[in-house]
Amino acid sequence: MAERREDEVELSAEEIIKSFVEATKDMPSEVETYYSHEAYNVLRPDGEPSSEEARRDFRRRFLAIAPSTDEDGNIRVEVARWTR
Amino acid sequence: MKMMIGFEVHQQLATKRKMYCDCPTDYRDAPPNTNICPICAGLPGAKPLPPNEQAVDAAIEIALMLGCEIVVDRPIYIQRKHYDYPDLPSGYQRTSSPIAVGGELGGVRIREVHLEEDPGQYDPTSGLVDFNRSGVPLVEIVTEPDMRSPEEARRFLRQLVRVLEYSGKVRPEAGGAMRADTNISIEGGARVEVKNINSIKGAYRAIKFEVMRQKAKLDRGETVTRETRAYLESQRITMPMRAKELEEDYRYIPDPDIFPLIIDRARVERIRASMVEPPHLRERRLVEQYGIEPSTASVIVSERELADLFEAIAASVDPKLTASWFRTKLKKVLNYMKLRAAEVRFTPGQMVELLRMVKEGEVTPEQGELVLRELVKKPDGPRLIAQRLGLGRIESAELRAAIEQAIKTNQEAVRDYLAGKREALHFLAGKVMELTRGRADPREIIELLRAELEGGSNDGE
Amino acid sequence: MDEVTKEKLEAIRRGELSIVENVERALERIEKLNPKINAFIEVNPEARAQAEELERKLKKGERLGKLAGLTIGVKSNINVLGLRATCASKTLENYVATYDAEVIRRVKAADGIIIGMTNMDEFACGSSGETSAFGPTDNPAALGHIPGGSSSGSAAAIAAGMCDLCLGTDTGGSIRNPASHCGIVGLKPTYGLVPRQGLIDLAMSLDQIGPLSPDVYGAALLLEVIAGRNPNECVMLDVRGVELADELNVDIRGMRIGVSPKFEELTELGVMEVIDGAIEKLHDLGAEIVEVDLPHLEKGLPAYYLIMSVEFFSATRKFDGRKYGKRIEEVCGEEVLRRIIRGRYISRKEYRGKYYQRALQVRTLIRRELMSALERVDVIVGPTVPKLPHKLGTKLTPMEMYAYDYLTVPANLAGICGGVVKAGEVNGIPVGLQIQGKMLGEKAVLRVMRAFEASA
Repeated sequence: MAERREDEVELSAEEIIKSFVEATKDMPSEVETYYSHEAYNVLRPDGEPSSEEARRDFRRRFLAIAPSTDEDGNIRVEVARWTR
Repeated sequence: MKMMIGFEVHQQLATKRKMYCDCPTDYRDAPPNTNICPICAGLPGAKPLPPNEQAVDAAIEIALMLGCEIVVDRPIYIQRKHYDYPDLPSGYQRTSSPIAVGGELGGVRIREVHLEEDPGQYDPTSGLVDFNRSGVPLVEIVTEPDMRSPEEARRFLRQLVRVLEYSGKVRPEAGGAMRADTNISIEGGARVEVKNINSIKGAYRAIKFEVMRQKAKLDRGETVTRETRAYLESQRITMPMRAKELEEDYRYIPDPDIFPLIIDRARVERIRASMVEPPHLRERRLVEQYGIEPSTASVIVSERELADLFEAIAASVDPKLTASWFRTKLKKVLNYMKLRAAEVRFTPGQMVELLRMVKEGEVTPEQGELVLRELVKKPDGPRLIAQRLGLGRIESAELRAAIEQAIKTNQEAVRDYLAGKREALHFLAGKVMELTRGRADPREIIELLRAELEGGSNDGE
Repeated sequence: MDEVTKEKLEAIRRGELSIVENVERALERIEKLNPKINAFIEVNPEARAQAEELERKLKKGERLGKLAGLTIGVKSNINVLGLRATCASKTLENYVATYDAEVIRRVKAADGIIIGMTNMDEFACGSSGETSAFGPTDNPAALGHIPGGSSSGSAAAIAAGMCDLCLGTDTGGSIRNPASHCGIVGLKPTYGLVPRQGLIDLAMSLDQIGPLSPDVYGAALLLEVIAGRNPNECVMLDVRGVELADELNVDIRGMRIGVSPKFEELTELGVMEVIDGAIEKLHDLGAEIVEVDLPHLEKGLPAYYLIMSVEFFSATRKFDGRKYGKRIEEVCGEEVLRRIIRGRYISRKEYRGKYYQRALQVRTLIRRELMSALERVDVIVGPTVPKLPHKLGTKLTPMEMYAYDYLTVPANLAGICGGVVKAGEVNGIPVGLQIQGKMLGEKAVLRVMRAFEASA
C-alpha cells in the first residue's frame, strides 16, 4: 500500500525538478555551495569520556520510548531476512 | 585458476571518546545501550560534535605507515553513506572521502584510507540491537584486488594487522579481531563481495569457500553474478545477503553538519616525525643493519616491543648473538609463560649483562637460559640470579675430578662406549652434570670425557 | 502591539505582575482559544510549578535572567526534555524528547518558561500550516485563512496572545512567512548564529531557529538569549553573544535601504501596494532608498526545493521505526512523502550532477548576487510573501504552494538574516515587510524593524 501511495505522489515530486531544469538551462556552470559559510578543521580534542552517571537518565528515557526491548536493554528489531 | 582478491579492512581506533560524541569507546563488559547518548543513538535533532582530532591523526599515521600519499591542501568531506540496516541509528554511516591514497604492503597495493564511524551491534538471528559500539572511530583500508590465492590473502591480513598493532593507534583488545569485507572474482565470473568477516581465519575460510563455490558454478556452465554475500562463521559458508543489484546506491552527500577537513603538509610532517617505523620496513632494516637472517628478523619484529628491546640490546653486545638468543631463547620463555613483549619488565641492560656473561664463558648458554627465565619472572641483576641459582663456571680441577669420578663409578658405560656404543658417552656426561650440579658446559664435558676415554684406550698405540 | 514585551518585563520586575499570574493567564487563554486556533499541540504541565519557583526567587531578591518569567511557545521540531517533539507528524506522535535542545537550555537558563509545544507543518514541510497531523492552525489575525507556515502554531500563538514569545524555525521562510500572514514580528537569524543542536532537521544547511514576537523588542531579546557559539556543534559561526535589545531605538537616518524591481515582478498588486507604502515611510524616516539588481532571484525557488529535498531525504533516514516512533514513509503526510521521494530521486548517482549539484551552483549564484547587493546597502527591503494567504481548506497544487516561498528562500540560500514586521493590511489581512540584512547584520535589520514599528 505504501508503494502505491509513493507512485501517486511521484509525479508531483518531479514537477519542481522540471521547472528547475527550465529555469537554469542557460545558466553558466558555477562552483557548488554546500555550506552557508565555509570553515575547515573544526575538530575537538579527545579526552575523558562522559560519566555513566551522566548517561543513565538518557538510557532510561531511550528504552522507554523504544517500540520493543529485551530485559537486558537491547532494542528488539526484525530478524535479518538472509539468516532465514 | 586465476583469481583476484581484495579487501576493505576496518579497525577501531584507540581514542577515549567516540568520533562525534563524548561517550566512551570501551564497550567491553558494558551492558547493552549504556555507552550511548542522543548523538550516537540517532535521536531526533541530535547533531554530531566536531570530529575527534585524535582519530584523524591516527588515521593519517596508519596511512603513512602503509606508504600512502596523504591528501593534502584539499577539502576532505565527511560524507553520509545512506543505507538501511538495524545497526545504523541514523540510516547513514559517516565516512570521509579518502584521506590517503596509493600505498603498498607486501606487494598488495593500498587504494585508499578512510575515516569512518562504527555502527552499533545487531544480531541478525535474534534481532537485538545494542548501540554501545555506534560511533567508535574506525580506519578503513581499501586494497586493490591484488591477492591471487586464499593463502596470499591471509598472509596480507596478518601483515596488515601487525602494522596496525605496531602503530599503537588501534584498540589493542581488538587485536586480530579485525573486520573485513572481501571481494573475490575468478576468471570468467563477476565480482562477489563478502561481508561479515571478523577474523583472519574467517577471511581465509570465507575466501576458500567462495572460490570453491564460484568454481563449481562455472564448471557447471553457470554464471557467477555480481552480488553481496554474508559469511556465516558458525557454518563456515557464505549466504546471499542482498538482491543482485548492479551496485547499491549510497547517495553520498557531504554531511551538512560537519565542516570538511584540510590536512596541510605541516601536519603530515609532524605526524611522520613521531611515527612508528612500520614492521615490514623495520624487518628489512634489521637485516641490513645488524647482518641477521631475514627469518630471525621476522620473529623479532613480530611485536613492536620485542624489536625495540632487541635494538636496545644489540647496541651494546654482539647483534648476531642477541638475535639468536631472541629467536631461540627469549621467544621460547615468553611463549611458555604466555607473555607479550610489552609485558617484559627487565631492563635492556640486564640482558646485555647476561649475554656478556655467556660470551665471556662465565655461564654456559644453558645456564644463561635459566637466568633468562628468572629475569623474565622477577627482574634482577643476572649475576645475582646466577649466584642465587648456584650457577657459574666450575673450576677445571673440580671438573676433572668429577670426570674421573664418573668414569671410575660407571665402568660398564665406559666399556659400552669403548665397544662402540656412542650413546654411552651421553650417559656419562649426564653423570658429570649431576656431580657438578649443572655448572659445567655440556659441550666441554663431552670433549673432556672423549679425550679422557679415547686417550686412555689409545695409550698403547 | 508596540512594546508589549518590554512593558510586561518591566511589570514583572516591578512586582506589578506576578510570574504565576502571567503563566496562568497564558494557560487560560490557550485553554479558551486553542480549540479554535489549534496553535498548541501540547501544554507544559510543569509551567505553573516553574513559575512558582521563579516567583520565590524573585521574592528572595534574586536577579532573574533576561526572560524573567515570560511564557515561551516552542515549535514542535525542537526537543524539550519530557515534552513531545512530534514535528506534527504521526511518525513522532509519541516521541517524548529525551534531552533539551541547546536553545531550550539557554531559554531555561534565562528564566523563560516553556509554556507548550506549538503546531506546525509536518516536519516543517509546508507554507500554510495545513499539513500538520494534528490538524491545521487558524489565523487569529484573519480568521478562516491560513496562518502561513511552517511555524504556523508559533505565529498564531503570538497573534492570539496565547504566550509572550515563541521559537520557530526557518529553512525557506518558515518564520517570516507566518509572521507576515499573522501580522507579527519574526526574525530568521544569520545561518550559524543560533545553535541547532536538538532541532529536528528539515534541511541542515538551511535550517535556523529564530524568534516570533508581538514586538521587535521581544524578538531581539529572545534572539539575544539563544544566539552565540556552541562548542558542541561543528557547523556554527564562531560568534560570542550579541547585544541587541538595548540598541534598538537608534533612528535610521542616513541608512541605505535597497529595493529591487524584481520584487514587484513576483508579487501580487495589492501586497505590493502595502509594501510600497512601507518603503515610502522608511524614506520619510530618513533612509536613503537605493535600487539593487537581483536578476536571478526567482531561480532560488526551484533550487531550494531540490537542495532541501536531498537533505531532508538524508535527515529522515533515522525515522525507521526501530528505535522510536514509526517508519516515516508508512505514516507521513503527502507533502513529506513527496519531498522524500524527490530527494531520493535527485540524489541518485546518475542524477546527482544534473540536479543536486546544479542546484548547489544556483545557490552560489543567488548568494553572490545578494552579497554583492548588500555591499552597496545596509539592508534590502521588500515583501515577505508574494501573495495573500488562502482560505483554509482551499486545495492548492504543490507548485502553487511552493510559490509562497519565492521571496524568502533566497535569504536561506545565502545564509543571511531577515526580519518581518507588519506593514499594513489588504482587506483586513496582514502583510509583512521583509528586511534582509548581511551576514550577522541583525543589528541593522532590527533597527529598521524597530523604526518602522515605532512610526506606526
